[in-house]
Amino acid sequence: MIQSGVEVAWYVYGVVPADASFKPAAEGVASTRVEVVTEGGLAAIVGRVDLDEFGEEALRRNLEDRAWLEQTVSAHDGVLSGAVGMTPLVPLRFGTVFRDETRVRELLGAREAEFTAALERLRGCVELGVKVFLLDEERSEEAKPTSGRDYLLQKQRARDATSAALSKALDRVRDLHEHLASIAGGARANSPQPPELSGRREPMLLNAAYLVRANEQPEFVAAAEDHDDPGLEIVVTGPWPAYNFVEAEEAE
Amino acid sequence: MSRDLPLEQQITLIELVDRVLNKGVVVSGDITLAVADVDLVYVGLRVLLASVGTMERLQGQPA
Repeated sequence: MIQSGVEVAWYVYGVVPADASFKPAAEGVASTRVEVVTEGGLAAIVGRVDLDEFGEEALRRNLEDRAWLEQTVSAHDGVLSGAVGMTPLVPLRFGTVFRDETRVRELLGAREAEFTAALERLRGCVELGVKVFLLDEERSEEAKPTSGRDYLLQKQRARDATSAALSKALDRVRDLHEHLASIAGGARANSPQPPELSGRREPMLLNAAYLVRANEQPEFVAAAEDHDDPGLEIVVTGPWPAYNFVEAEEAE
Repeated sequence: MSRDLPLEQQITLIELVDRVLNKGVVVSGDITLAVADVDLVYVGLRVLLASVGTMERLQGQPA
């Protein structure tokens, strides 16, 4: 496997049951072939990558390269997403690299109980994301202020109205999250994203992920979108690999 | 190629980075990402946002 001094390493995307029947994505990170390494009842989805691209130094440097980051992150997700709905799947965090196949087998052996339990928990489920945005309310036009005092009073009224609307919206969003969590197999409320991340000027009030039975997705989406509040916009994403539901501290 | 992605794709990409770099089971592989100890997703988002000038411009415009 060593050619012209380039060392090969094993990039691991995730773990599936050994008997999983799914068609791996054609191409993974760095346009490498997607392969499977089996050990006992588990299989790792892997790819052989060059250390001069995925070694520590190289990785650190490449992470700063926007084009590389885009391609590689998309490829990592593409491999995992290709298996969603076909097999339970434990995603590993980006950038998990082993020196050789034996080390990958050792990983599967060493953490067999943990991976097996996670796969059992995730069986038949997908992750759906739900974001809620607070839309700009339509403010009634006030009369042009006739004095400085008048102006300040108007400003105060506008602030009060905004804060009342926000507080009401937050109540609704909390109710929605509680309801969705009650019909989901797992729920996780992440920090709402600031506008630079969401790409939206409107404030994000909820940034949650739910573990949903694959065959109940339409019902779940309907429940998420079932509201009559014109001040809220609800955005459902997915199905995703269960990125949010494989950590030990599964809060909420 | 990536500089002129439409806004929607930029957002999808940020969503992806947020999941792929931030979530998933943490396994100590043989290649240790020194930056991972700091915050992998922070690095990724910083790189993405640094060149998302289009996004900021769009945000500054009335809908």
